[in-house]
Amino acid sequence: MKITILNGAFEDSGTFEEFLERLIESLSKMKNKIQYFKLRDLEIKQCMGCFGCWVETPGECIVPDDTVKIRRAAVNSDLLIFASPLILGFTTSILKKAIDKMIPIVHPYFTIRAGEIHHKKRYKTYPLLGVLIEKEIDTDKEDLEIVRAIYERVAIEMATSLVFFDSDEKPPEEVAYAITNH
Amino acid sequence: MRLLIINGSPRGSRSNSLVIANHFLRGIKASLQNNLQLEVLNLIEEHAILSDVTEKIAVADKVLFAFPLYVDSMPGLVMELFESLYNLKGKLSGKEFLFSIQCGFPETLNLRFVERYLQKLAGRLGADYGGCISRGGMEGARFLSEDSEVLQRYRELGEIYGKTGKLDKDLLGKIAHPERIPLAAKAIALALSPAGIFDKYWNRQLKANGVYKRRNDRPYEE
Repeated sequence: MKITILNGAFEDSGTFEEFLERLIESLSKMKNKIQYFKLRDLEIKQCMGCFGCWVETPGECIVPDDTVKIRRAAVNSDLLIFASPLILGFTTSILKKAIDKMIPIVHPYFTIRAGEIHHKKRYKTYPLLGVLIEKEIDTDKEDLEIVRAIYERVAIEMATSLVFFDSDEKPPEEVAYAITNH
Repeated sequence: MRLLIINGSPRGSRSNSLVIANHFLRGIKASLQNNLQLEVLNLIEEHAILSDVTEKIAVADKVLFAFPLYVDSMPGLVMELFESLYNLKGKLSGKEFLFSIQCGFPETLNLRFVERYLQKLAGRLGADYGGCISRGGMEGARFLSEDSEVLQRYRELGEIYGKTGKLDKDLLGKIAHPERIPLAAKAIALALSPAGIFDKYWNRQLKANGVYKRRNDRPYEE
């Protein structure tokens, strides 16, 4: 399985980063092919909502930055994992900026998906989605529900499904197994 | 009242979010007249120095965060602003946070998920949650006539807010309409869309840019 992992941590926070590295090691041992992006090391500009990717250079952002590599990897993966510590109850702004720049991979045109109006698919297939978070000290059940619900919405918009949502509290080998056998 | 309006749209001064916030503000001004100290800022122009924005939040009584829905939640730069408030956690007591959010999708339900987050965020930071004004189908807000019903409602909402300090629930519901469009009506609208307003809006721009034939490009396909 081809897996793209986006790490939205601001800094090497120690435990979460270590967890991700052990997870990648386990996933690789299970014959998965991993593309790992440490977002803080990349140039990611804020999407300006210009819609140039829809009406000027269809399918490509008109403002070049490193997200082109992320979109290419994502579209050609079986699974895309958003990994991030929670900060004030949500995944980080670095990760959000990378997600904002995903709109070139869909059409501007509308269609009905899951009984709602969403954007038409540009590609034939899209990666399944997974979310891996690090909890804050005060993270509660409601926070997890809120984050999960938003990423379920992202999955509908990206014409795919959220197949797992987990935290770094379990051993990485166990999470790797769950990801590989989702 | 010291009111700070933060427009979190990456489009800045050309944004629908600012148009909407300004109509709400006009209503507030009409009822408060001189009893208002106001600042409106475009986050995209200020976000290089986020500490200046957080300082302004620290001295305001009420803060209205206005932004568009970006991939089912707040734009990254708005999340960046929220993160910068981390150090103000617990120091925002007595301050009110209000939100005005909108999206291009015609159904307001798309906004309810981030709305739930915003309510939790205000509480987590120790601010009072004043409510959230949500409205779908607003990609064209900047082209609306001042007399349009929805902009009038934003003004009316502001006027009542100026008088009572509360967002009127009935008006919030009217502004949010349609929360959800019946499936059959959506299906008919979209079946007609190649000739209808949705596709035409994009096709006109694709043609003007000479790239209509490339509209189905898949540049990353391997």
